[in-house]
Amino acid sequence: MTTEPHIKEIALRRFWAGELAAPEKPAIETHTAACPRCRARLKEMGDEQRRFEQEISFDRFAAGVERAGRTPRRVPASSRGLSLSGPTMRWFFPLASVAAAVALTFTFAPRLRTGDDTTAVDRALSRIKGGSGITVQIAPAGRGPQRTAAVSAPETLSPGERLRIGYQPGTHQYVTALSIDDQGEVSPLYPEAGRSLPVSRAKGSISATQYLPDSIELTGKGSERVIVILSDQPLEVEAAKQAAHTAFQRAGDLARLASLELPGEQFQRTFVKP
Amino acid sequence: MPKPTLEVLQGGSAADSRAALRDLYSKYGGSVFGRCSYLLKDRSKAEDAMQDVFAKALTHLGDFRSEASPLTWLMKIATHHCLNVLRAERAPWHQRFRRQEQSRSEGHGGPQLFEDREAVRHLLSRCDLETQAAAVHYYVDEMTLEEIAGLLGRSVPTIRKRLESFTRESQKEYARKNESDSEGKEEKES
Repeated sequence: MTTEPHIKEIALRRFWAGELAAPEKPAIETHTAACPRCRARLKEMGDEQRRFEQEISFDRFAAGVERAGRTPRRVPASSRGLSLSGPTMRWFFPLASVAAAVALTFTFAPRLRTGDDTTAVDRALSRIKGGSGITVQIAPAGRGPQRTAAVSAPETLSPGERLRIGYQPGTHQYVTALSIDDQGEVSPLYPEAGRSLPVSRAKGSISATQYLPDSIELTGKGSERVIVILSDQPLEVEAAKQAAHTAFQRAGDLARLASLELPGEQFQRTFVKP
Repeated sequence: MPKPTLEVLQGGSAADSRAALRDLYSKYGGSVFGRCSYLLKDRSKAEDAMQDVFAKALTHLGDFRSEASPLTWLMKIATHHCLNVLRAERAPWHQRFRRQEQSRSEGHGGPQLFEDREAVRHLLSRCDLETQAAAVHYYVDEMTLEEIAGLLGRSVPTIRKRLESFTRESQKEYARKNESDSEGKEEKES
């Protein structure tokens, strides 16, 4: 029996993972040999790993990580001081295809713009039936002015630029957003699974812009199209994804992609990734 | 200085990368999945979060400094990611928290409050994100103030302040529970 203080959780975990060297490693070995509590915690860490491996095979794990790295995934905002951004080096895991697009997400609040850089055509096109439409705001990697994605032409993104999707619901009740790249890879954005999100609506206005939560960054090469569907009935995300696949197969490339065979109104913006 | 267990593999072959991923799986999979399950309380969401964490780790290897512990780094990312997921689900989480509070007949707290990791988890919803992360690393990972400060890129006094704020919340919670328990007992006696 030892009278020394117990080993801290993080140190025990590091020991279990084989991260420690002298002098910590032999000290923990000595301690755990004499301390039933720390020995039991160490055994529990081994059991935890075994349970994990039984529940999630390596192949499933690898496929999931690869998919998570490839698919633009909506992740809630980073907060000040906890951001994982900073001096980062993008390293694309070769398990994924060369064209794999990794999306890292941040949130930016769309600000009131001081200058309007959209054209009259863009503004007209962005508002179609019954006040419904979309607005995609683009924020730079650092501080700087935001801009609105053009409607009538592909918008070229600079490295680190992030997108936030806004919509004017009009009389529609549900919103679904997905993206499709020039390889035909479809990524549900909002929601990622299940059925469409009910629209938010500003009191007394059907045309006020509502922003979907969080923002996305499209990385990788080539073009990617963001498609927003405003509908009166909820859509199954899987059905929307399938409709996008079918449309891409018929079109053969992103430039010729027709509207998806889904009920509701569709709005799209195309981006050329840096 | 010990050699980092997780090395930056630039442009390695697919086989090398798969071997590196298997290493991550065997050494850290259980810990990261455990952290995600602890915070999210949902196996499916925890698996999604774990995948995001490892994908994120692979795309942010530049952040991985040679002197850092891969485990500590991964636990930081996992904690941060899950707290953000919870924040995004803020309304449901708060509702769930309130339901749990209402349905609990006997309060548990006092000096043992911080020994109960579930209590720490429950209290998280009342604090800002940075305080939440500091509390998880302090009370669950049992890291020192210096270690947390280094991990979160904050000063020790800032981390101390965050943890003091967490402690104040726990004291309020304890006082509220005591009050509620006393009222319950009085009602039973009458």
